[in-house]
Amino acid sequence: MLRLSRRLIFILVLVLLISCNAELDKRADNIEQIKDETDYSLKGRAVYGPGEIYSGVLNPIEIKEIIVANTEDQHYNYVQISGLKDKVVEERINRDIKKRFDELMNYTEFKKPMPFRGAQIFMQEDTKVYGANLSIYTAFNYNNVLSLVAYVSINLENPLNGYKYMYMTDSLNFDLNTGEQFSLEDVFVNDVDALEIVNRGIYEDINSLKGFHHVDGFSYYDLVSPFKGIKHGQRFFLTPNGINIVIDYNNPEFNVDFASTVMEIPYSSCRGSIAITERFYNEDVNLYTVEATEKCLFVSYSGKRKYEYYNSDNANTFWDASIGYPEDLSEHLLEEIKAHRFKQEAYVLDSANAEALNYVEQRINVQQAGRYLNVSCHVYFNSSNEYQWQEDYYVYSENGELLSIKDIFAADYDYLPIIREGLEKAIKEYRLTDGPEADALLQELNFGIYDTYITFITKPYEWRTGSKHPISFQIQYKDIGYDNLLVF
Amino acid sequence: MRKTAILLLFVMILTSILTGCGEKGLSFTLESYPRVDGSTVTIPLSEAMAARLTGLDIEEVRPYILHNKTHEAYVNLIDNNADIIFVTSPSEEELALAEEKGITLEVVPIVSEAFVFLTHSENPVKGLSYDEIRQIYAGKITNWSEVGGPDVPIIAYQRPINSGSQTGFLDLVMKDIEPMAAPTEKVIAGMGGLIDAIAAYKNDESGLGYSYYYFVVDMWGNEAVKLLEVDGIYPDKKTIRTGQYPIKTAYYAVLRSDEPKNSPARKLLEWILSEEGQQLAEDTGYVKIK
Repeated sequence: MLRLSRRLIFILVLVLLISCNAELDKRADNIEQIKDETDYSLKGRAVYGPGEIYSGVLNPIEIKEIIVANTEDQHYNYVQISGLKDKVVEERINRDIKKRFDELMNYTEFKKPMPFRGAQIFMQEDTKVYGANLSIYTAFNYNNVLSLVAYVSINLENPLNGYKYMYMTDSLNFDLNTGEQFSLEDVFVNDVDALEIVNRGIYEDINSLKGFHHVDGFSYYDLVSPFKGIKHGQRFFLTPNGINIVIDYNNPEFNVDFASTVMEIPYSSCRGSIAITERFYNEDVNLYTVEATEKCLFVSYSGKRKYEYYNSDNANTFWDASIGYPEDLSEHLLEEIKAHRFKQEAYVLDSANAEALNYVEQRINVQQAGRYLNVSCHVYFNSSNEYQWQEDYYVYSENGELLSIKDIFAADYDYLPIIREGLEKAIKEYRLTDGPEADALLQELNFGIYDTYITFITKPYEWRTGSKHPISFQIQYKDIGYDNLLVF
Repeated sequence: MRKTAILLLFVMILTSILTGCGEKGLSFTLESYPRVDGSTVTIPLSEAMAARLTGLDIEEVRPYILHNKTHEAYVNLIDNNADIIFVTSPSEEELALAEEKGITLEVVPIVSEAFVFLTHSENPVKGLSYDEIRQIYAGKITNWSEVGGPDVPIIAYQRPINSGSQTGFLDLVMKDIEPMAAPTEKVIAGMGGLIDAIAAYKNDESGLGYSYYYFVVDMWGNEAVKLLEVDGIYPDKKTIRTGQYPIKTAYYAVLRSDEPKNSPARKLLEWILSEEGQQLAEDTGYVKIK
């Protein structure tokens, strides 16, 4: 018995040691895994700063939407691409998209709970799914990069907890040269700490959203613990405006409830650090079965902005004015923009009977468009018997110089005919054939530059007695010809 | 005698194996784990406890842990829809609700917390007295030079009304004193309009802000932020735990007093107060209670 017990003890001790060593090995494996994650090798060409992205060349691929279900309660779709010369790469991309679609379908079909905090609580046996959507669509398709976003949402109902809506965001970022998916770090030049740049953006966003909404916050962007910084593998997608960081259950410092949220970092906030074009694009190499023919100027609608707000209620007139501009706008430009405000104010006072003026609303907005700054000044004012709408646009170069219309066209390009044609077409469309003369309006045209077009605005025209507003029209860059433009 | 010793050894080894090399005492399955609820700030603690005590990864337990925020957690506890909650201290309203339903609450502090004041790391002011802080926020002290600093105005930032930190600021610091109007800034509201909002803390030499220690101490990007001594005591884990740091609070576990002895909820409470539980709390970023 004693001998048997000794053997038994020996075996048990051995089992104990093996089991403890196995645990240690597992931990060692984990450490190795963590090490691997931090030793990420950047994809594509090595790119060193400064790197910028102001515009993109549209990838000439066909993106076909595959609708799997489209009923009152369900909508499922994904995309498949064609048009790459390398069919192996094309198939790889399509396979990866379909695979991700199938994986995400598990959430819509209730096979898996969305990995949000507490989601399982809502997934009881008697829970019903009464609405589900899964949509994969294109967010960015330029410079040999294809960035896709997947939105998944489900509406649940169970007797204990009632209704619950859950919403998650996933993404796929493809290098069309290889069909490989790339990481957030690949968006940045090799000689910067990409995660540090993004972390700085998130940190500032936390603060600007009146951060530290702790204990019981109320923002959509609630912290449950100190933000420790994102890591390799952070979910993201690109748009022409910037880098979109998906904040969800993979960022446990944030309490997102049951819906992922997206924080956009404009390219203009990462000056000198963006490597997309240089890493993935080579204008001498055509990856596609047809030539790329379209370009797009990237316009930033977000980023860190400042606002100045002016209102007054003098006598009978209520003035409501604001200026919104990027936080890093130079003092010189800010002064210029304020001067535009005063000029427009003076115009209002000149145009209307000051005593009869009731209401003036003036909105001035400064935004980055490619390497330029667009300043739009909109003013609306009315009195008891007339109202007027006016728009003034100004475009500044990156050096802070005010551009005239000729500055955006190649020196040898005669731009007047296409502008006249656009204006005459607008006059026709507005049915103003008996009204203004194109020649007269052409003399005082304003312009602003946007993603795929230039917008032109005339001075206010009296459409009917007591009502004045400008005529606007747009001309697409592709109709002008990219070689005739200096904005790209 | 020898047989007994062998048997004892056998039991010890078997216990060690079953409990995972002596690392665990209490254990649960996801099914046997008590129904928990709580404040947002205690989510990481709750998840870490559940992971430790079920032997699962934190990502695996996360979908099973739902904190419905403080007030709803109290309501759920009182209505017997939760067995134990991890929260800030009960409000008058919550105590009244419990009384109305004939429930007595057991409120047990489980981790320490402190209310801290912060400024730019290059601000030469090392600390403020409790009274100076109250006078600054009452608008009576307005320049850093009045508290031994440079001749620059103090911009005393506040937090949005009803946020946890603003409630803490009013309850733990200002108490009977009305704070001055908070600095505001224009922010975009719905439909693109601009509204006045409580200005967010800006870390420059003028700025004075506040938060809970837990959120500041390991925050990414806070390397240029300095915590201020209060009444000569610097807030750190030791001074907060021992109560030397004067503006102290806690997060609590709350149970119904009729919760049976040895119930899973009571065992969980006992465990979090154990050395192992307190160490887990500290590893998760909180300050031990003892």
